[in-house]
Amino acid sequence: MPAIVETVDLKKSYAAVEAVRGINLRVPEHSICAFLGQNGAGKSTTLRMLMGMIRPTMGTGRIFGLDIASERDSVRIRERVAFVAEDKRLYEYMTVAQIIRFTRSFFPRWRDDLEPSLLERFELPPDRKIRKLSKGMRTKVALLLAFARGSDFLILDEPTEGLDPVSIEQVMQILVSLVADGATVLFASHQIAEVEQVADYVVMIHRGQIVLDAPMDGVKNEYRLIQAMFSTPVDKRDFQLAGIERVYSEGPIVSVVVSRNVDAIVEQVRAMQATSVDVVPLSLKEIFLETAKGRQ
Amino acid sequence: MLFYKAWLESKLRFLVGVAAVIAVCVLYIRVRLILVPDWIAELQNPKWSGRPTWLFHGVHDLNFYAWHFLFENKLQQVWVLFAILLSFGGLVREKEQGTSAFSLSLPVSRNRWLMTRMLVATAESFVLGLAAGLAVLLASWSIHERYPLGQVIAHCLLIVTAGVAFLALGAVFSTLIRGEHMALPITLVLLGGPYLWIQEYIRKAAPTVWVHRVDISHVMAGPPHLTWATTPWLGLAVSFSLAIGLLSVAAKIGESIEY
Repeated sequence: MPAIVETVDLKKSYAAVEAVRGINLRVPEHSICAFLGQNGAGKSTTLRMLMGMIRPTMGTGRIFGLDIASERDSVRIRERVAFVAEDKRLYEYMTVAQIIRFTRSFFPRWRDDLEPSLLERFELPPDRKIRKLSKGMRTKVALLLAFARGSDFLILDEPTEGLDPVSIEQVMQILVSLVADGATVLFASHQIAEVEQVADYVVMIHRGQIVLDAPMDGVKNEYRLIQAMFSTPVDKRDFQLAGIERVYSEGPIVSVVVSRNVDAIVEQVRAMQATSVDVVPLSLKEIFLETAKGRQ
Repeated sequence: MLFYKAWLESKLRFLVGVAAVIAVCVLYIRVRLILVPDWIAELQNPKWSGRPTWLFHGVHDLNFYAWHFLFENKLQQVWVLFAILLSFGGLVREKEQGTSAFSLSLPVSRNRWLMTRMLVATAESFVLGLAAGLAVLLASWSIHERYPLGQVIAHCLLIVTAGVAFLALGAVFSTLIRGEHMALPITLVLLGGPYLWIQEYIRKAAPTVWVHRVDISHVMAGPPHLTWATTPWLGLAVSFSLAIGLLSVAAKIGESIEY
């Protein structure tokens, strides 16, 4: 599938600190790509580089084939991209209606059908000033302004932060419907349960480097926890097959996190005289935690 | 809509500026009713030797009086202060307030943000000049004296056109100094000190001194009676060139800032 975003060895350093350390990111067209990582992993820095707000120290990045480091190309990228930043601060002196009118003027493909329905669904008061809105309401306004742009590509940094569960569900439904209409979404989130619900691809970043980049189905199908019991204690070093991500042992009980090659690893464990072997699927949250732990 | 946004952000400063220039103009014209009788008494006093040279003209010529107190002095200072205030704002201030990410998600180049803000600030500064002119006219009428309309318009236009360099300087400082609350005080100290010092120096210096030709505050004042021939064209050219140069610097700095 063609990619909307392609970065090659993208790096960003602040003095001696490397915030992003050579990211090769690829976001396929008409998909929802979840961008996961701990606080300070480099998610927001990467997204801001894509939007031309900060310049890469090294490497290249392209959106729709346009160079993210060129100011002229960046303007053309922003004609087709909607961005919601992590802090979602908007002009406090404008009313909801004013900021909608203001934003609409820049986007010829503004979704006149979507705008009133989002106003209604999010229960936003058009005449209220932004400064008088709650944090959740401000987030909803920021999302409305992004969704109604009619953009081909949406970059959302923690889009559901501060929202109640009902609103989160609404946002997820809207994302899915936008993708069904032909859009592509890249979103950073800590809400792994939501990501699991809607994402087609998952990219995990840790300390500025991508540690997992795979289709969601593949991740869910491949990642397994193998729990084995032995009659005598075993050495962790005996578990060194391809696909083994992490091994925990507690006396005769051994837990093995595997990312692929499950059948072969199970066979190997059985061959080591295990008295019992259980294979348990892992949730995305567990995979995320294991991946992060594995790189500590 | 960018103009609309710039206007919403600066309208309070602008309205305060309009009130300030009107207040200064009305005050100085109205106070003439009190000052002139005292000055006449001073001029008729043969024992008083320390009278300044402008006093005779100030008594007999409203045109000179307004030029001396307003266009060369107080009105100009108030206008410069508000021109700098109006040029403040933009993406650097938004970064402090947290809205720059939203602004930079719009398909608008950083230079266009800067130029829009500067155009609005220039238009507002122009209206400040017009408001000052109108205030001088009406206040003159209220003290039963006439100030030539052409001279008011010419002087106000000169203040605004020669003063664009201050607007551009405000843009540079606003881009350079990141802290939201520190930018203005630092600018006023860095700019106000030399500005007032140069004014004082020029006033005392011989009229042929070369600084006359390029001193922007002197250019903004022009001569008391402004005609096509007495308009300081060279000074205007210097001011415009300086403004273009400073705006280029502001744009260059703005392009390199990371948000």
